[in-house]
Amino acid sequence: MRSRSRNIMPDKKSRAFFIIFFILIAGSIALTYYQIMVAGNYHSFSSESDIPEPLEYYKDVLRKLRIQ
Amino acid sequence: MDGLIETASTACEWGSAYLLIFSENVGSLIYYSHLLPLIVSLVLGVFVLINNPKKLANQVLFFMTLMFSAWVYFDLILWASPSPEAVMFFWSSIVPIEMLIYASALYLIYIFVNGQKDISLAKKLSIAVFFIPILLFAHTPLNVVGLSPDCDEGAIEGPLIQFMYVVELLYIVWGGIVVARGYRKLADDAGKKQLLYIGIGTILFLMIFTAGNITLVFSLDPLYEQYKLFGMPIFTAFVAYTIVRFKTFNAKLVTAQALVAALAISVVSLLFIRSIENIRVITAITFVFVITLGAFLIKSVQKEIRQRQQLEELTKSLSVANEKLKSLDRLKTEFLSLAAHQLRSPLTAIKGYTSMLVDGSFGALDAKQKEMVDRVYQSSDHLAHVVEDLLNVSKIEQGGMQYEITQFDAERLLADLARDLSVNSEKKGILLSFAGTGEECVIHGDQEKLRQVFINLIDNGIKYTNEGGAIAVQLEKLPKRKKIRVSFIDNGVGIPKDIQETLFQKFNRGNGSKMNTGGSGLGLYLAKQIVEAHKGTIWVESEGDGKGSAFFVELPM
Repeated sequence: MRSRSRNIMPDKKSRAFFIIFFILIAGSIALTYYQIMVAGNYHSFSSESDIPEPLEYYKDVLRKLRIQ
Repeated sequence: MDGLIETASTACEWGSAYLLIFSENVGSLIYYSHLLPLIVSLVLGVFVLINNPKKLANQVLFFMTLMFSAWVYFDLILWASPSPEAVMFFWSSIVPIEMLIYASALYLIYIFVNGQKDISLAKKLSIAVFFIPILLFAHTPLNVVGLSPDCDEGAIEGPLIQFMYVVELLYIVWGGIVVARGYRKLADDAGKKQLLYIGIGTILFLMIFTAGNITLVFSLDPLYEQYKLFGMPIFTAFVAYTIVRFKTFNAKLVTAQALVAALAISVVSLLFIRSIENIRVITAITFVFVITLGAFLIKSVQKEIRQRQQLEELTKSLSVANEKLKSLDRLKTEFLSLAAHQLRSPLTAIKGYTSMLVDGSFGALDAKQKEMVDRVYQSSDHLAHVVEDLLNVSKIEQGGMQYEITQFDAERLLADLARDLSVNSEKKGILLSFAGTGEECVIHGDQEKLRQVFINLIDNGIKYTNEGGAIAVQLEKLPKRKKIRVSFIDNGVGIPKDIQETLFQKFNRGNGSKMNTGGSGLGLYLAKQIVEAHKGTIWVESEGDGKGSAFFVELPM
């Protein structure tokens, strides 16, 4: 009986993995909530011409994020 | 959230949305394409989880349908909400949710390939590794660049969403390969078919979803994207079919019925949509759902009816065979009874005359003659016992065993028996001892029949104990349970565990057949029947060959 329940339930390592994984996902969504809903940190383009060229824009975002 | 949306600045001149999703700005097709899969998905997930919450496959399927439902709800918010913040937040949040749908679908396929067991941590990590960019950049403009000036367009998607589409395609191909390999690897035919149905259903669901996303990439009419959600009812149909056919997810038929009910609710919900655009499309989709699931269910019902008919035929033939067996058994019992009665009278005469010959009633016999006549007497006595046992068995089986219940002292009965039978045990060099309670021990029962039971157990002890051995008879009172217990413990040949299980059955002679002790194999069967008729219990304990044995009889006081 014990071995059967081991087969159908995740082991300790897997449980730890799932806990960490879902904390990270929840954290990511929480950070998104903070950025947009609390800090109001998002762009709202008023006309088509305001929308930047994709490549240059993404480079700029990454520069700001200090990845490049 | 409602309050937040009401106070937020509005980018488009739309009215507020009730429960974030109900708005006059959203067309009926959008509600129909969202609410139908949402209901079906939730019903499927909840029913499967309720059926067996501890099973991993059920948990993963529930999680997958939950994420899908969350996705549908978030998407409705994007359609209905007038708030730019809400649109930005839910558009950004829908990305990890969508990835979780695909990842859990792949995980589900792996579980079925693995015989419904969990997969290794390495495989889980290899599925999860593609979430790293999502975790790092979901909150940045790399995910959603910003709000579009065009209200109908909503938001401008960033490279992270393009990355997600690529990963989703990868998950689909990956899942397909896993199903194909698993199908070849699995030896069990039922397991193979389950994997096939769940695998095809899952991959079809993901492919339809991805096809909807592709319409966005190619800037096609956003209405086309709505059809991607209909993959869920198709997936549900596949799951329902495997539930009906293989009882997958340990779900019962009621789950399939619940799914049909959910579909019916969805169809009825059409009546409540005030104006329906694209009526032909909606009707066609609904028709396909109902026909698909209906066909599956009809097929399974046909199978069920066929199986029931076969079962009924089998039951009938079994019933006839059973009647025949009963009749044969009755005939056998009657024959035994008749034969035993016919044998008893001549045996009594043989025993009487041989006894008189031994006593010298017909003149003195020489030593040799006396020995021969004595042997005839012993053999006829043994045969008389066997005949008596056979008669008792036939009486019990015909329900004609009579018990004369009286009050008697078990202590005295056992002490007398031990004394009388010690003559026999001493002949074989076995010590027979009795340890009583030292006081009167009154019980209700048929004294003569219980005497036979005790004699039988002591006789067995003498038969199966070698010279120099010992038999201890012990009587104890169990006042709390209002019972007496009689133990017959010997250090004889012992009884192996497998023989112990069948020892009290008719014609089972235990080690007797090996030791040639000449028993009929009815003594212990009769003992059990008599003890149980007195509402008592009888059992044996032995460590095995050569380790002695102990018989116990418990009787109510």
